[in-house]
Amino acid sequence: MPNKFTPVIISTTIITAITLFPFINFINFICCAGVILGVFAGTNYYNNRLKRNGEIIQYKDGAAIGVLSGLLSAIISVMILTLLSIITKENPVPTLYNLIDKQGYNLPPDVEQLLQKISDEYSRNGFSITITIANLILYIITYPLFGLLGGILSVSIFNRKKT
Amino acid sequence: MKEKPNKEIATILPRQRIVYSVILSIALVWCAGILLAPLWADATDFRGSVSAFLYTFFSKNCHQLDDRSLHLWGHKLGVCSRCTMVYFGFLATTLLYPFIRKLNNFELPALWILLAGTSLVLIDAGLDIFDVVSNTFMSREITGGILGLILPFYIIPGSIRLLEEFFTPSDSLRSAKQGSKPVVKDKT
Repeated sequence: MPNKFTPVIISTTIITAITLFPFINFINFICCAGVILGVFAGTNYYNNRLKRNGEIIQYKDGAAIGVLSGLLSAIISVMILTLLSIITKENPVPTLYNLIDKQGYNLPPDVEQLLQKISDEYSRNGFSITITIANLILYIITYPLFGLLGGILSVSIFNRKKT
Repeated sequence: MKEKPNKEIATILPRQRIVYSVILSIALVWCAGILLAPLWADATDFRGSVSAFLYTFFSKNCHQLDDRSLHLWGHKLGVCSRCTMVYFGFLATTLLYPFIRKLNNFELPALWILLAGTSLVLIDAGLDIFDVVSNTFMSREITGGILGLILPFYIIPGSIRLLEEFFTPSDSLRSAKQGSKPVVKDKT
């Protein structure tokens, strides 16, 4: 039975690339379609390897590839985004304040405090630890979940093709 | 969707009900989050923080553009109109699923149905992104709703099969016989 290392790497690479590239990452705004596509590619590769050995792909194979690649791509994406933030030294908080002012919203005091804290972190470190941790938690929840869905859907498609 | 009789598994096993319940629970909580985000947006206590968290959470898989989102209680929903219809369509089908198909029926619907639903969304979004034809609120909601209604017919049996694989010997699953079905052991 082939191991799942290569399919996971393929899926992780595609998901991370889709997450990081401008315009291409819009596809993730359609219910994380980028994650599902990436997992489909890795699962397809694994399915082809299994077919050569005369075996069929199981749902747990697709699920494992989906969850692992979702997890890995979440971590790698956040690391690269943080690195980019440090390199560009861009503080997004003033832009956010402008947007909020244009919309005519009034921020509650605790939200103002939080935004000020984030802005200070950007000024001090070149990136915000708060934003990084928040992004990490959110990506780690959503990417493996949609990765799992992508794995199950992919195996459904491959096994459905056979019957 | 026409059901083929499944002669190998007569009873619905408790673990199959558990998988279905988990999927239904996740769908319910997800949709509740979409509605709670605008409902609690004006709250000044912990509910306001929950609302802010929910908007941030959903921002990872939706653009949340104001002019492409439905609004309730003076605020946009947690996700755009297309995503709202995908998730609520998914929830609707999941709620009705046990009345449409048995949980121990592992037969999947035809592949073209899933591909058609997905293609509708991709065409609707793609034509708009490349400025060929602008989509409308209605087209986004209809295409999203169709996809959401279709998905549980693949995800629910797929998830149940996923759990069944842990209760079935690997050898009987791995052999690639056309049309062969896994033999499920009922330990109850």
